[in-house]
Amino acid sequence: MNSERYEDLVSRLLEGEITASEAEDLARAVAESPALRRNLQEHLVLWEVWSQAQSPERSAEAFVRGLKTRLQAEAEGVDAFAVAVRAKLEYESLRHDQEREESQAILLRSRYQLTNEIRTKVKSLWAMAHRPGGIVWVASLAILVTLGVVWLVSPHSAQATTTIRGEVVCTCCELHEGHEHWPALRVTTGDGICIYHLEHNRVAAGIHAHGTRGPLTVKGYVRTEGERHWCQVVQIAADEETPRREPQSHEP
Amino acid sequence: MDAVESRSVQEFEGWVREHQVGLRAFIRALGADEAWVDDLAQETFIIAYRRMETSLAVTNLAKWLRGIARKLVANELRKEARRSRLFPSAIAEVLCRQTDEDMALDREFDHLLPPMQECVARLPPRSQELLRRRYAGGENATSLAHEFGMKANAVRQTLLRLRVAVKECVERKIGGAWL
Repeated sequence: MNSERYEDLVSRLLEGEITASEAEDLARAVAESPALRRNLQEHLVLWEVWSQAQSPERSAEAFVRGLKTRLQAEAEGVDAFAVAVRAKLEYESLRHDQEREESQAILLRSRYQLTNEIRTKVKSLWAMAHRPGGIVWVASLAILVTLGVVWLVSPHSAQATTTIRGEVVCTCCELHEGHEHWPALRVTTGDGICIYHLEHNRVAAGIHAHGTRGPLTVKGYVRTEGERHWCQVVQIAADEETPRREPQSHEP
Repeated sequence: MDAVESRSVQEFEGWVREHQVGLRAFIRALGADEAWVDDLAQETFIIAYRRMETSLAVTNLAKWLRGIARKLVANELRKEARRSRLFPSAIAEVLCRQTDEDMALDREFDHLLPPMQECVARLPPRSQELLRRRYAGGENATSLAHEFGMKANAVRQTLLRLRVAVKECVERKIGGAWL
């Protein structure tokens, strides 16, 4: 690679405008030549130091402030998340107890009514079965009743949660929707990309506080308003309940 | 917050102020995208904060921090391109993998700024303005081209010439290898 081409590629890289194939050309050149690699790294270091000094949002003060905010958010986030999970578990437990008590009361009432009902019906069926062709009619009725009972005792859910797996994105930084930094889920489907906006609650706040990026699985109640999809997150998948900022290994 | 914790936090803030310039420059040299350098540097400090007990025993803090940063960037290389905070993977791979042999891990870069300011001050006003807009305003060649009445490629070429000139000027002032 001649120097003109190399400089052009470095310039494109520093401007953030390099293409994938240009990047491969440049990578080959710097991999083969320690001198070029050093030259590139010198440019990167020098102009990084300059950028920090020139841009107010990259000043030392801004950097320290940002770091403190993140540390604080992380500490609060762990607490908020733990509180949210505990609250959710307590709520679920309470709801189960109430549901169990209600169903037991209903069951007792139904059992009493059913016993009386069955007693009357058996008497009339017994009389019917003794008529000509009555036994066939009674057998058919018995099958229908059995099917009905099976349907009634099978589990039904009144309100189902939906599990969504997607990439956490920031509504401000990445979706450019207003100034509030809040997580949303970007789900890639066969038809394209679908954004689920997360309703403000403590579980979503937990995601927000962790500043989580990357894939995440959540359970929640999904609704659509106009063209916008909303999810009221009730739970983060068990395998993703810990913050994932930290890499797999840190110790040098 | 008790006295010990308060002292630790103060000590940590002192480290951050002392090492942030060099660490951010180091992370950039490993192949971090300009927009994500600070993010990765903050993550490095957060990890260091969590390991304050270990770090109190570390003799060369700059080197230790850069070791953490290098592992962070190496982990980043495993991500899909669209989620990565680095340069295109081909370049980031080369820069990250070969940094140990090329760059002194504990070198600070704060001293580069004063000679750089002197060198930039010698440039024509229009060139200074171009550099200012590029770095203070964060505008790229395409948007600068519109404002300076130039083509994007001409802006890139001008910025390249300015960068090379400033780099050579700084090296003359420092008089020796600095990386």
